[in-house]
Amino acid sequence: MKNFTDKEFHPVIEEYITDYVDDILENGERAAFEEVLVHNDDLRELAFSAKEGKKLIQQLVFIKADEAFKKRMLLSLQNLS
Amino acid sequence: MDAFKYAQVANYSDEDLMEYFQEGREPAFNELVQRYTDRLHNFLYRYTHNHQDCEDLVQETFLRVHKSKQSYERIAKFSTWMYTIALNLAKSMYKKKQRMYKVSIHKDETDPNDFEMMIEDKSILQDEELHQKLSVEKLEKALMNLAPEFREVVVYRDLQELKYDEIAEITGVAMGTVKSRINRGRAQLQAMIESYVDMGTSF
Repeated sequence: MKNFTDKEFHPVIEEYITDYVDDILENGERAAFEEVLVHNDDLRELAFSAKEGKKLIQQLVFIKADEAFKKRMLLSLQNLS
Repeated sequence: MDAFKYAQVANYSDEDLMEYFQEGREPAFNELVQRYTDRLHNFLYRYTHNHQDCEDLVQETFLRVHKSKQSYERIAKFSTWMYTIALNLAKSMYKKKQRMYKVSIHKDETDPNDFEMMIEDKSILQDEELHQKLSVEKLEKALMNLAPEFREVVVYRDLQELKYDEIAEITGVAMGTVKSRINRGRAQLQAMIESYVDMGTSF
């Protein structure tokens, strides 16, 4: 797996990533965060990959918008415990 | 600054090269293009997910650097200055594309009750084209192959649409950890899918 997923960031930065991916940052915050991304390769990789990953999951959910799929995924979680 | 020496061009820093270029040394610019073409492409691909767009944006970025060379000041790192230009161009392209997906239904000038409206043109492919080319099975497989601690939170968040505090409560881990795991889970999923895709194809 790529190295950038192993790197740890400050919890505040992690929160910024989730907010960035969830698209809930205000314009000013978004611009400032994107400035930070320009300077930090690992952080940028993580943020952009997470954003892309979320889009992929949304695509998957959209295509397989049936309860059977969700049940199967939830079942897989139950099997973990 | 010392006189420009063509034989030493590979040893100059980015900032030195930019200053030499400002003095009219074109080989200095060529060296910067050589150094940054691939890096810029990779940077922009993360933003656009479209190789053709990346090529256009890389070209446009270097064109802007060339035209705006005198606006660069050494107080900033050259790479920062250039990436900022690239990011702004990518944002502009994104906005332009968003507009392209809508077509205008012009109003009938002779009809005072008619008005112009915009409708989405489904025949124009969007960047999501990449995703549509991926098989659902591979996506599902990638999700199942995520590390359990990542899959758990990603499923709760992106499939069940639970709030972060709800996920923290269910899983019994701190909310910061939940967010960190979701970030990594999503990123790892993307990395797995990326490995399935032939990056040489034009999307």
